[in-house]
Amino acid sequence: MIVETSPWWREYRGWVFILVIAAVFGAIELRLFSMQVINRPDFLKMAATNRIRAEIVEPVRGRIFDRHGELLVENRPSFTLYAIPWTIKKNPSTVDSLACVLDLNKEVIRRRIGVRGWNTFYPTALQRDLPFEKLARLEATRLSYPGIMFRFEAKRAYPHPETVHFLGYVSERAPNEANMGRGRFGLVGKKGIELVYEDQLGGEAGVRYQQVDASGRITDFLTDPPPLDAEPGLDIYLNIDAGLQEYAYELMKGRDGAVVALDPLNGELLVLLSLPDYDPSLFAGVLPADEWKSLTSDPGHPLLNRAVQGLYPPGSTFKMAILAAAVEEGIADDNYHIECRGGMQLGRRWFKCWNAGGHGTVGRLEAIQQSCDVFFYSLGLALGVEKISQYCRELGFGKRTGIDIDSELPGIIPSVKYLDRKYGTGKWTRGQLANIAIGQGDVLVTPVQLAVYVAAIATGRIVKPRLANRLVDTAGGSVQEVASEVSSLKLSPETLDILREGMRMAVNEPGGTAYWLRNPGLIMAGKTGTSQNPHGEDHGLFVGFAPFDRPLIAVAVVIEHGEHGSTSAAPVACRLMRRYIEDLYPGPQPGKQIRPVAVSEQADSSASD
Amino acid sequence: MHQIDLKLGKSRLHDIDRRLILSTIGLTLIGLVLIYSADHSQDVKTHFTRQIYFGLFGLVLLIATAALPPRIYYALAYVIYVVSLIGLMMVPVAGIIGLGARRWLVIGGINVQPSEPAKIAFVLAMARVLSYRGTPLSVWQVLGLTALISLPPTALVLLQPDLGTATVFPFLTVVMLAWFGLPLRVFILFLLPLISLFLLINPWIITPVLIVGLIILIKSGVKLFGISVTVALCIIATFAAPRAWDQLEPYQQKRLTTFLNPAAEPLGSGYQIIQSKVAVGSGGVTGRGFLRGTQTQLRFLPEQHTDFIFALAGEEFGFAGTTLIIILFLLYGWSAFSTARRTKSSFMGFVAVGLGSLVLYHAVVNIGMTLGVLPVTGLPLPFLSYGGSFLITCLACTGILLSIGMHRREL
Repeated sequence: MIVETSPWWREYRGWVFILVIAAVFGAIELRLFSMQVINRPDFLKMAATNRIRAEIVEPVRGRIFDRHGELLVENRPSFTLYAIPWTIKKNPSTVDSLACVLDLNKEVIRRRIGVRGWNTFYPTALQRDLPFEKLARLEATRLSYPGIMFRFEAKRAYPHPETVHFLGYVSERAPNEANMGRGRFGLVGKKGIELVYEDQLGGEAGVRYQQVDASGRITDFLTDPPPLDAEPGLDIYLNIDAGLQEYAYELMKGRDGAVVALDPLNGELLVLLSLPDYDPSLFAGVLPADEWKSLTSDPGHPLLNRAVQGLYPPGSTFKMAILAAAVEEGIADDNYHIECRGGMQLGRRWFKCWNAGGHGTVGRLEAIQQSCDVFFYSLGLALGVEKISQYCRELGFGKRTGIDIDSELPGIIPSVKYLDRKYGTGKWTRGQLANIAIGQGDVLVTPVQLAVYVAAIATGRIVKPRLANRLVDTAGGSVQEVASEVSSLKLSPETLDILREGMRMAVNEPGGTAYWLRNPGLIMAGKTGTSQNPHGEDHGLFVGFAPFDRPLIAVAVVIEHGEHGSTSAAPVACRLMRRYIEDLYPGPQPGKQIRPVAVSEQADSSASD
Repeated sequence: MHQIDLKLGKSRLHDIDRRLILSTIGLTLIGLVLIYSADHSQDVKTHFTRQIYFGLFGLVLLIATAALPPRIYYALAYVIYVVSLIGLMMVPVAGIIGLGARRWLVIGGINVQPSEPAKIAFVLAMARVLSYRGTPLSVWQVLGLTALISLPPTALVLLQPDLGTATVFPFLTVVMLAWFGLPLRVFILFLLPLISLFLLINPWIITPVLIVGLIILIKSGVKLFGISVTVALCIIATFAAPRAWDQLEPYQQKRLTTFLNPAAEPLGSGYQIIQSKVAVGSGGVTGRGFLRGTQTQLRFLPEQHTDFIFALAGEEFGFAGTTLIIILFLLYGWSAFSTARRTKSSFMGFVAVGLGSLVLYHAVVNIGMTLGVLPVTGLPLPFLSYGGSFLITCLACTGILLSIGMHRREL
């Protein structure tokens, strides 16, 4: 087959080629037109995303004060070391150098940097509160650490060690908490007030727009779009009395347990103490893993806030609830008396009174004053589980008090259903019922519930305990009060008077379980308790209020392994109450300066409010 | 020959192709402006001045190549071709490595990329083969000779490895054979095995195409022998393709897969394509202004003074700038092909077609890559991309085309 170019092709091939080229370049022109003219806005947006980095300006966290304006949580200046993941990815050797300077494991560094992914230019906090010598060392050799930057930031400081449990702490935001609070990155409240009031304390993050080049270097600060200033968080004023809290801490020195004191009229928490405690500054920086381990594995459970999470059998402090039920139900009237011979036979078991010698003939008031167990065995058996459960719930047990703190536990008040489920239908005995009547066995309450309970007896009101009093926008000057929530107790004033009188006698009349703590200047009322602890020595409890005529403070104290309430918990509570009243009404005879107001009168006036 | 010229009363210089000069100078100057802008974003700003030196040297070469009459090229075609092959063969022996391949020779302290001038040498040799005027050749003889010329440079460049440049030689062979007037059925005969390389990737589209091609072959009277050879080649190609894929360098595989789906790897190979498209698209009608393109100046655009220089033009000078460049290339191609059309010499026609296609092929492949419609091959943009070997080669192209234009009436 011989090749011969056809004459037609010879004549027109030049034009064919030019046409093909024109078509190809025409197609390119169309493509350019669609990209540069029609779809330009999309590409401009992508170009802007490339070069504009929104830098989050972390807001200053609100401070926390006590009721007298004493600073409980403040912000101290510190340096934070940040790493830009993308740049570190390009310069992996930086991690090795950092590990050396920071004295950290390379894997730990990589994990911290990569927490939000490696393909981002957003700086990730690598080490908060960098010690000055490390900062100086890094800053001096900065060029050998590409992708590293420092920021001047506020660090949380907790000057009052005795406040750790209710203040809580802040720590690095987990990636899944990105939308919690308002600042996108940085620290977030993890526990206590810091957690519960995160939205108010956290403030609002600002944003600054920077122009960066391909390697993430800042080349310019942009004014368009306009930057947004960070709004500082609100300051919180608590109801806590820092002086009283500190005093409670001193009184409890060397002991584990909880102290809760509140204003019985409105639920303002004056003291909320849990021991053992931990050093809150541990959580301000990055907590080393071994420190965390030792905290969580400590047999004393220092992270547990016993005031709201500690579950204890209330022991004899429970007896007012039983008596209230019995009086309301008409079981124990004025003539109701019991003969105590140091115990009571129930089936095959002898149920002891704490006083083995017996109390003799005991009426309603003496039963409270001397804490006669036999009296309450009889009442418990007469009332039955359901009635006990009903009145205990009315007095705030078996449900959360609604305190403004996280992780509160509701405790347990057994009902028929509960006992049937636990022991099998009908398998539980009258003995168990008798035990419940003296606050042992299946009954479990928290210290804050005890405080609300004793406050309810003192005033006839069920209060919702509150830590926060008001939120203050210090810059703007606006104040936002935290409303108190109070409801009336559905018990008759006469019943309450009996309970109060019994409690007054326990402290102020000979034979009372806390008679040794009487104080001529201030009439206090209270009830001791000892809760049997199968794991060791008994817990000592005390609930009380003062002054008797016009209650201003209600206290619940639990001392773990305190053995007897009257010797361990009662002195703490009584001294605390006295100190509070003395502080309120300074003077040699505080009792005389207090104009007595009838309690029932107060309850009535509140009901008509 | 002189007589003809004298009769027309025109000097050769008067006959010079001004379109070619205009487009060459225009494109080179635009290239300098763009390289200046690319330098502006870098810490080391040496490309601009170096490109000026390359351009000046290329200008001298352009004048020299334009001054030589085409018969010299005809006479030296094979010699130049063999010298360029030797240069290519030197690369694996004495070359230096850059960008993951061995592409450069160091001659007198200057890095030279022999594959660039080899393109011109190839065109000259191919033109001389195809313009053979002795006893008529059969189709198979023509194919054999063109294969003989095109396979050595292709193979040597593939070895470097430089897939992009290696595609230049087969492409120019096809274009020049088309100009030669090789019957359509012969192209189909060879096209079918190429198409069947992709049969296993998408059989539903490729199979009908193959069937249509076979029908055309049968209708146009190709003998059973030819058809069975084609079918055999198709079968071989179908099953050889996956093996050939394995033979590709990982970065070459990546380029091809990235081209198919750039978003799959936005920070890897796809990064270049995405950033290039963003640069072009954000330019708008009049561009963001000289030295004011954010993609360029903040260095989001990769390889901005070489492979992606067209994207720089798109960002800073917009649709107006890119259209001007397109028009200048179009002008270049138009003048090359009208020269080819009008020349009376078969050799000059082939050279003009070959060199014109050489420049335009690079332009289209490079711009197509920049706009994200063709894979990233690493072919530079003629006259604009930074790089001495290629700029000088392109200017020499213009010189030879000018020479042919001035001598187009000769035989």
